Amino acid sequence: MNIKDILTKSEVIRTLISGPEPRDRPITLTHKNIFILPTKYGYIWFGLLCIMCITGLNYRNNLVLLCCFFLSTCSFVSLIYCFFQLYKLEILPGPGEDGFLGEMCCFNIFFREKENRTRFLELKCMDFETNIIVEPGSIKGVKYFIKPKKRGLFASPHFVLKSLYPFGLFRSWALVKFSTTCIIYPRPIPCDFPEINVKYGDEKFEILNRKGIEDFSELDKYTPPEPSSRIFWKIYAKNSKLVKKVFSGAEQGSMIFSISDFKDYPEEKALCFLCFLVLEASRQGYMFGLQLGQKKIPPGSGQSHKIKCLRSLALYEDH
Amino acid sequence: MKIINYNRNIIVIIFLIFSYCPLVLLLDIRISIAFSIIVLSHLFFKKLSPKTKNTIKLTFILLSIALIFSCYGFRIMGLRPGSSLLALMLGLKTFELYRKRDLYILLFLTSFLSVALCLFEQSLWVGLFIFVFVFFFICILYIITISGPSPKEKIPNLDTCVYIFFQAIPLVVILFLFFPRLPSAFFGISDSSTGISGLSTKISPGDFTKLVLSKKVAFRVKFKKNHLNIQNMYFRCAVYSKINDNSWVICTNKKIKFIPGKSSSTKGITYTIYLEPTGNKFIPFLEMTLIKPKIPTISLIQGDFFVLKKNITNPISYNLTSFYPYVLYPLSKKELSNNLDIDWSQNPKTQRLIKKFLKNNTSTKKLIQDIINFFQKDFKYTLNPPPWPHKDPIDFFLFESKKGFCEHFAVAAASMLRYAKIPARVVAGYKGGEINPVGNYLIVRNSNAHAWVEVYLDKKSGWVRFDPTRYIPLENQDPDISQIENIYTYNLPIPAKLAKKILHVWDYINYKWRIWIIGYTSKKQYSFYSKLGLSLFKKNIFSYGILFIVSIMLISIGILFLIISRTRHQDEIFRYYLRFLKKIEKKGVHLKPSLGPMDLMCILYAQNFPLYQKSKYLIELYIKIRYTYKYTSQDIIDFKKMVKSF
Repeated sequence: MNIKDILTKSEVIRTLISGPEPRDRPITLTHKNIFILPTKYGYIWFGLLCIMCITGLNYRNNLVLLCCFFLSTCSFVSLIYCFFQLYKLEILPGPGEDGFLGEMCCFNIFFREKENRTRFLELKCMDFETNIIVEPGSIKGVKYFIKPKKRGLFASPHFVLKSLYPFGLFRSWALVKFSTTCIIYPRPIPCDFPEINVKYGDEKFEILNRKGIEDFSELDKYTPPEPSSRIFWKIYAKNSKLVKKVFSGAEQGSMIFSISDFKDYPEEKALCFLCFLVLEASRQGYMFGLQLGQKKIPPGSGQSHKIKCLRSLALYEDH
Repeated sequence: MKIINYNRNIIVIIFLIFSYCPLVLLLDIRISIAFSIIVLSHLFFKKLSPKTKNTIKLTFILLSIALIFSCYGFRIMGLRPGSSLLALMLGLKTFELYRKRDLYILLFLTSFLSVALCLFEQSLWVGLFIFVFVFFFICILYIITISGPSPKEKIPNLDTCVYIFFQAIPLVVILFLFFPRLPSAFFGISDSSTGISGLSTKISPGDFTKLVLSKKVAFRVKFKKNHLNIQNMYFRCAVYSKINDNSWVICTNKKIKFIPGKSSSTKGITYTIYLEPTGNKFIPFLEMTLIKPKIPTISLIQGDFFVLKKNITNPISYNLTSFYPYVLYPLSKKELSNNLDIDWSQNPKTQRLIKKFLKNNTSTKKLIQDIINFFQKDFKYTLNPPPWPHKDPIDFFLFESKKGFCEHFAVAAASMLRYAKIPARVVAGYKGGEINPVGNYLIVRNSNAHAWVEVYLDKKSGWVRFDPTRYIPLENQDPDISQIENIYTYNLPIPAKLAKKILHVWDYINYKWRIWIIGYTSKKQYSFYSKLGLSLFKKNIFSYGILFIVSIMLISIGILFLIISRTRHQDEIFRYYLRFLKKIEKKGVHLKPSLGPMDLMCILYAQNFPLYQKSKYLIELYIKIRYTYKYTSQDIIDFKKMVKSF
């Protein structure tokens, strides 16, 4: 067994060297994953206590020493309190929430407090910081937000859970990483919606008249999976009946957005345009599909269809 | 308690004022006034612009320094000037409480006010104050830490502080018992301005017109066996044998060897004295000891009394065995003449009186009896005597005023004996005391301070005590003396007996505090260690080792901080640029610290063209990163790489 093996056998050293291991199950913090060191103020304070101690020793003044010992033991006891702020705290992973590139994406975690202790914590994950107070015997959900730099599958980075409680002289912290992921959709870039080529089945056709699409034809009964943007709210306000607007153009057929329509653009930008189109089409309630290289998503509508399209855009890789 | 809105800045300022309070009694009153003006003005200057605030701050700083100089002169190294400076600067710090950091710093430094207090006094009151101080300190530390970024918040629940405080107590006891103490000091602060009433190096009774009897305890004596004759116990402190301009001063002879005397009495009185800080250099002891006290700092032994090198500012204790009657070493001719020295041109009436006394008899004992008889006639013991004139002071006392306290009588009697050519000297110390039945020990207060005369009879008898004040009839004593003597006549709404009992118990607690806490010296610690079988700690090396380690730790923390604070503001890119500059300098190009990157390019172009070509891109990249926003993360990586490989 070489020295590296011995070193990496300890969880503490392993965490320090290569960061925390991702976990998919709840974690209870113990001495194995809690670190503790003095803060900046802690160092200043201990320097001053040293001066106080030397003064007391030199002048053989027991009262100065007594004062110094009192202050230093209180500080020392605070170290234990600081450690117990994290000790036996259970952290449960929650789902990640999908988001767009350039916006914050969100991860959920939950703290379960079983020790009858109020925990004053600080969560830090990359640039995001928040203060958390977990009341005794409660479960507290916390969201943390990160700005991803790339589209696609985004694994939650490790976050630092720290506590300065009670005197700010010590900082106890734990590095936690959950194997939670979320999907980062491409950043939607607006493009001209009506003038693009859309496919209907295998046949190409052009939408010539934007007006035609949006021509209102009739009112019909609204059935839940349909986009809510079509509900005619004025009627709902009058007699509480959900009625949808039917547009003549929309009945003409569904569209297929293809990446090949944006051949002139770099691939990432093309995905951004497509993302916009998907969002826009979904907002306006069209039937639409996607053609990404070999992969094809048949036309459809509704929230789940939109997410399916966005996800395939996010995970698109050109081979 | 939970839902009170507070301003944490105000809480810290109140704590600062609380910590300063006990120092009001110890520091110059002007300092306290200045401190309160500074702290209170903070409230009025809140709404001023930062620029005016800074001007006011600067003015206050200059005024504070000027005030300290005016109060203490140029001796700013002492404890009083030091603590005054600390207090005023902490007061000024209240002007800049912007962030949590400032609060922490102010709070941490406030703890040094309590250290200053402990250096001034180690009484039980101060001990109790420290207890309260520590509790408030941790509470405020807790409040600052728990509070959010806004200064106004709700007071949190302070249960945790109470728990921490009580959990710390057992640890404090362990640390106090086991933390190694130093047998002697490494360095000291002089405090020349210590002015505690007590004995001084000279006696000039004519200067005082009022003697205030202080009830403060001078020392406590624990006898090995009970001794009943307390009122006739004389504790010697200093001997005044030289006359200098109507004052009796300590003879600063070169003889610094302690010459033990002899005693006809074989039974000594063994006792321990717990001496409070008297502010002078004298060590009181009963009658005459034949061995010198074992005090580590005792440095000068003057004839037949002990003098320390420095004023006693810390409580000390020592064991002694005293004997009575005793005979000191026989006087040499020179000493004999020293003890006969008197100004023959003054006090003609006294000289005539002595001559009259001597006509009738020749024996010294008879003469002393005559003097006693003279004093017993119509002399009065008073604490408010008239001042003595510069010319013929003894004549004035003996024939005109006929009023005085022990010093007047002692000086007059000693002068009379010297006019009779009998060696005499004035001895100052303490007489009597009060037995505390609670702990069965003797309390000697400052009001027990006394002066008497010693007469040298012959070689066989040596110096013999003669206390003229003793012979003043009680009816001739000032009526206020008995009132002052009785320390229990405080205006308390409780019966005197109960008050006496309470005061005795209180003094007993003080006595124990003095022995257990203040008197826990390195010596006591060694004996404690050896009782536990830890003989390892008997060597002083251990304590010095601890001090050494603590000092090293302190220095390294200091250096670490210096480095951190110096590098904190320099960003990473700038550090790399500095590294690049160092490399350039190594290649023989002299650079001024004020040089900007463009100037650097010009210099390189002129001085070393190949180097210019090599570093042109690097400098341009630096300018791009440093002064424009049009750089990518790749630029930074490239820049670092180039500096590394340059």
